[in-house]
Amino acid sequence: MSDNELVLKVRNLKKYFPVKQKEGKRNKKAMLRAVDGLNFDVKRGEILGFVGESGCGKSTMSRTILRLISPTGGKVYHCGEDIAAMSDEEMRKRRRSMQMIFQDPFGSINPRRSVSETIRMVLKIHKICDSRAEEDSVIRNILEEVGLTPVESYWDKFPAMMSGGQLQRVSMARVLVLKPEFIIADEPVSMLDVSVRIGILDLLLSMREKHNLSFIYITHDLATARYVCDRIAIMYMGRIVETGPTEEILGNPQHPYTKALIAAVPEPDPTREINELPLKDWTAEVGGEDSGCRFYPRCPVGIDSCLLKTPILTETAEGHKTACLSFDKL
Amino acid sequence: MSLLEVKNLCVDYEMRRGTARAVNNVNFTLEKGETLGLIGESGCGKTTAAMSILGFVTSPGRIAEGEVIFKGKNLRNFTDEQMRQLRGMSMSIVRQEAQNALNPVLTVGEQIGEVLREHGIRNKIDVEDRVDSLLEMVGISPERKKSYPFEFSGGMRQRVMIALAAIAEPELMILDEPITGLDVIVQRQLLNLLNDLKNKMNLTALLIAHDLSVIAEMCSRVAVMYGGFIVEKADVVDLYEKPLHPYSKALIESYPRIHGEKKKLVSIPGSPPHLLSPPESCLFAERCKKATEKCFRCIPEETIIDSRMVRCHLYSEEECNV
Repeated sequence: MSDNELVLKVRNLKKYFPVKQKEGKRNKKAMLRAVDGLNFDVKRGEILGFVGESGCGKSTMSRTILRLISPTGGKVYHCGEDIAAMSDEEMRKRRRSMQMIFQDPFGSINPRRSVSETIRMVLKIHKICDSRAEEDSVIRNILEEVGLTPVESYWDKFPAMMSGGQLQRVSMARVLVLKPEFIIADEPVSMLDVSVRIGILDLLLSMREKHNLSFIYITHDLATARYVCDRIAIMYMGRIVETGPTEEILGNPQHPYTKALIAAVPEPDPTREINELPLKDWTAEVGGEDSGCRFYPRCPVGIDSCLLKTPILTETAEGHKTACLSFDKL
Repeated sequence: MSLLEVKNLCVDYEMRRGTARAVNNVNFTLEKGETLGLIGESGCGKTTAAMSILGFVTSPGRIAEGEVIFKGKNLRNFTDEQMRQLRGMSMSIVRQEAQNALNPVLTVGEQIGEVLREHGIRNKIDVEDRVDSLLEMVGISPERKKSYPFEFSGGMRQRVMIALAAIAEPELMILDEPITGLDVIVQRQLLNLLNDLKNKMNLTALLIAHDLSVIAEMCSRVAVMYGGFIVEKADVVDLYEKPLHPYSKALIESYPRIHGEKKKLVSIPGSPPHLLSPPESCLFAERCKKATEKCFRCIPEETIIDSRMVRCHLYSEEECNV
């Protein structure tokens, strides 16, 4: 596939943070490997989901991809071009086509700006329109597109007068007005009521349809990931442990962590039996060891060699890769 | 006799711009050993309804009408001191966001000890023993009692909250979104812990959630709230398999799931009603696909069908008096 079809190509992406670690009474300097060697591609028009629990590195990953923080190692290519090699000025221009939607709309939208001003600000920063009249018409169109209609009733509204779902639509409008190629949506619906979540996810899907947008959808919720994602990557402590087409991962999970995640999801069906979690000891201390499988302390099927050898992603079915020594026969 | 009976409860918030009725003519009972779920969107009045049971509704809110009868006694006639005695001993609450509910400058053990002393356990060794056993009960190693809340993960803090609520083995426990905002695996463990405790202590509980799945796993009966009203009350399985009220149906249809076939989900259009100047009609009518002219004319009354309660004009033949 040509690099042009790949909106995003990530190779061996790493982000380490220096931390102090207690060793006896002394503090020892150590590295926290928040993101540890990620490899993946995002095709044009594709939605790739990253599913994992808090602290697994999902958000650090998204910040590193957009170069909001600089990576410790590895490469990020946007449409074939290396992002790390760009100057700050080039990067600023590039960010127009790489945007992000945050989890908390109450925190990510300036409370002192009205809806129209919030979007106008973006147009000004990126110098998109020539006149105020042109700005007005762009804002009007984008508000209509994200479903904030009738536009007049939202035009002068302030965030405090709006619900979380409406504000998240403003976030979408603010991003879409730049006509990006690629959007990272970091838990865009986890703060919203169940009944409005689907509305936002449907909007996301229709935007993809209309503009052939690519998304990285970050979440801890497998159920919403299933609803929007073409492919899913399961993350555990900075590494991808399993990746593949959404239905394949959910229907035929291979990695013990994926199995545990799926078993843990509560279902609205009261007639369903509740299963025991397939985990050894969830409270087990976990460190970010350099070698070996990081899931080992909690893994119900781990063997001794898991401690020594770092599992790599191995294809177990078409397009379905798992990083577990039980599949790594080399 | 039911353990708890809530009759015609109405709670008003007096604001500068008018009065908002957050809880409107709410009726429900809780039998001993039962778990009732209260489900609805944010702002539907579920937490306010629960708070009025504990006597926690304070200005600008006030209980405008109705009765809360606990073990045959009307709690609205209780003095503040009587209510204080009741709380903790006979009823307790586990709130959402445990990180804000724990004192950051006391160790977890000290905080539990403080409550134990308040409940009359004075002997130092007894207090320590109880702290240990309480922590053990919720799955935390007793050595951790010397830790401060910030050294605990969100799930562990929520466990401490559950231990605190269970100290006096209360007859009624109110669980206000006990697992919201936690990771899935931690959620699952807390659900299992709560279900265990429920069985062990023969606990009666009122579970508040906006999430159908939590209700499905813990409750036998459920009440669906919308705009301050309970719009449907039913057995959990009945509600799931055959919801009567269009709002209950919409809630179930909008819920994404990971088992079974992938279905197209339907969101509920519009937004919840504004309670400051609600229309004199069914509050859900504007968002309802099945609404008829009648729905915009008057408020539906409680109707009983097959021992289920539903507040919807679709199921009542009565004409509006207006």
